Amino acid sequence: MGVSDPQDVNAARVRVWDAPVRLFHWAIVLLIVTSWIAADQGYMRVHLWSGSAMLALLLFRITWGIVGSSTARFGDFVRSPRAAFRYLYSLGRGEKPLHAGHNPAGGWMVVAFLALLTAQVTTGLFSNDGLKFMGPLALLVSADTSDRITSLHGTIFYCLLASIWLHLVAVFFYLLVRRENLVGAMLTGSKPRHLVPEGAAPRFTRAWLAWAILAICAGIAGWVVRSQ
Amino acid sequence: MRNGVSARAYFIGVAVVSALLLALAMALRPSFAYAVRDTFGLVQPVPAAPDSFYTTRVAPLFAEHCTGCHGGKRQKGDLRLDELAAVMRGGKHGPVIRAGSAGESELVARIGLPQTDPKAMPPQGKEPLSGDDVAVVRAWIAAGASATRLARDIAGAPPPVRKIEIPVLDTATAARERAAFAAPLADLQARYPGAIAFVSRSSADLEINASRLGASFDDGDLAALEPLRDRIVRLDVSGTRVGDASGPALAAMHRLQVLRALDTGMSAKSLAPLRDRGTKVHDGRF
Ligand code: HEM
Ligand code: HEM
Repeated sequence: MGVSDPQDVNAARVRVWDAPVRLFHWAIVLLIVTSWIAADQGYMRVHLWSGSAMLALLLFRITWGIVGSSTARFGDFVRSPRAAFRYLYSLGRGEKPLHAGHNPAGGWMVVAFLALLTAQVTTGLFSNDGLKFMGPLALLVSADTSDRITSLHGTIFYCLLASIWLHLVAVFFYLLVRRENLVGAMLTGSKPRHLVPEGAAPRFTRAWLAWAILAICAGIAGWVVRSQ
Repeated sequence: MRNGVSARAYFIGVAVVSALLLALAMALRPSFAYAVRDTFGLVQPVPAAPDSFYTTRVAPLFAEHCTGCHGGKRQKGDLRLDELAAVMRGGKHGPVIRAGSAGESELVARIGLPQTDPKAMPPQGKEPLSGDDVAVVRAWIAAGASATRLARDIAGAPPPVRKIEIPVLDTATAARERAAFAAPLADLQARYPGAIAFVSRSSADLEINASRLGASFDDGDLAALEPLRDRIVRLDVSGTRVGDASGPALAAMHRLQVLRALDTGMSAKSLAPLRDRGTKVHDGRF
């Protein structure tokens, strides 16, 4: 089955997500859960580790949004807010608009997630736990400011939780109402041909470039975290 | 094509699942349940009487030792000790106070642990409660953790101690402050030997006696003291060649308390601003 060749009109499935995007997705899911439990239980070393990994992944995903595969690029899926509303409206009318990658509403979801997560990690770097643990950049600001940033860090997390809930409501809407298994696509990387617009042919950037970028981002994150 | 559930059915399902999740979270986290009930105005306020034992004796202890972490700023363990309703509600794992029984109250257990215990409160490194402080909290809980009972109704509470502030010789602070200008100070002390000294061992403030340098000290020398200007509190320029040109330099010494300027070139007019701002000026004129 020629999954990897989008031009193969006979293939039952079309490849839409590259491995870096899929790995990014499931890694952040794991890291958010880890960060949450660690902060809740007071395992701040673990929290710092998961947060630093998150920083590296975010830097990677933002870069990949510029130089990565077509379905990963901001230029491909960030559309005007009007386009997003028009899309939601057509969904509401029971139409079946198709998109190989993110739909116009989903594109904004990606932007919102990346922004929230960046804010989460950035505020984390300046936070403190009031006891022995300090974010690696907390000493760059006054104790008062660090305290305020810490409470912001908590508030942003609630926004993140709300967004995740909305995200799941959307994903299951597709699965249960429209019978489109987007989760399977995010796992395997491919969608059934009938869910991909006629003639759509995502272009994929070579994987080694992703790993090279990820290594650089991990280096930057490590440097930031160890800079104090 | 296979058909899924209707959008209507789906969103009803979402509402049900959301409600279940909310209920689960409320059951697992009493503090979360409290926040939700509070949002809907369902929390009974517990007003503490202003003259009650709680307000006069217990709340100040919490304010001094606990609310930095269990208050408005942060709620470690989801516990707040800055208002009585929250104190009685407890934290992440439920109530921390069992009215009438100090021995069964988690809060009492925690403040009674040795400092090295990881569960001790306040945690290691923070100022612990004194034995009397612990006794005050115990007595209040044993007497029912009341919002209204007065001190005379609380058996076994140690009497209040009036705190007397004794000024301490804070040489550590002074050393830190002195370090900030150690280099320019050393230079200037070498240039004007014996003229520059700290006012005391526990202070970083300076006393400068230029009068001993006599006519060799002039406006240029006064200007050279610029790096120390925030620290100079006493200055004597009597008998030097300092004149009106030093007006601005003296004005910049904003902490200057006493200026002796007998027999100098300074006019009464140029000294007037210093007098106006409260510096004591002795220049032999009135
Ligand atoms: C911590 C929780 C989660 C976060 C923060 C999150 C975040 C994201 C982000 C940022 C994307 C865009 C991926 C990219 O383009 O790089 C995405 C897409 C996606 N996520 Fe999640 N996700 C979470 C949980 C889940 C879960 C549990 C599922 C499945 C049950 C899921 C299913 C999907 C699917 C299907 C897509 C692709 C949507 C599309 O086709 O446009 N996500 N998610
Ligand atoms: C390097 C990155 C990060 C650092 C240095 C950091 C640091 C901190 C610190 C110092 C606290 C305060 C803990 C306390 O008050 O007990 C905290 C709390 C927390 N962090 Fe992070 N964090 C980082 C990343 C993250 C990420 C990526 C997430 C989740 C996606 C996260 C979620 C949380 C949560 C849920 C809390 C508890 C907030 C609360 O109690 O109100 N953090 N973090």
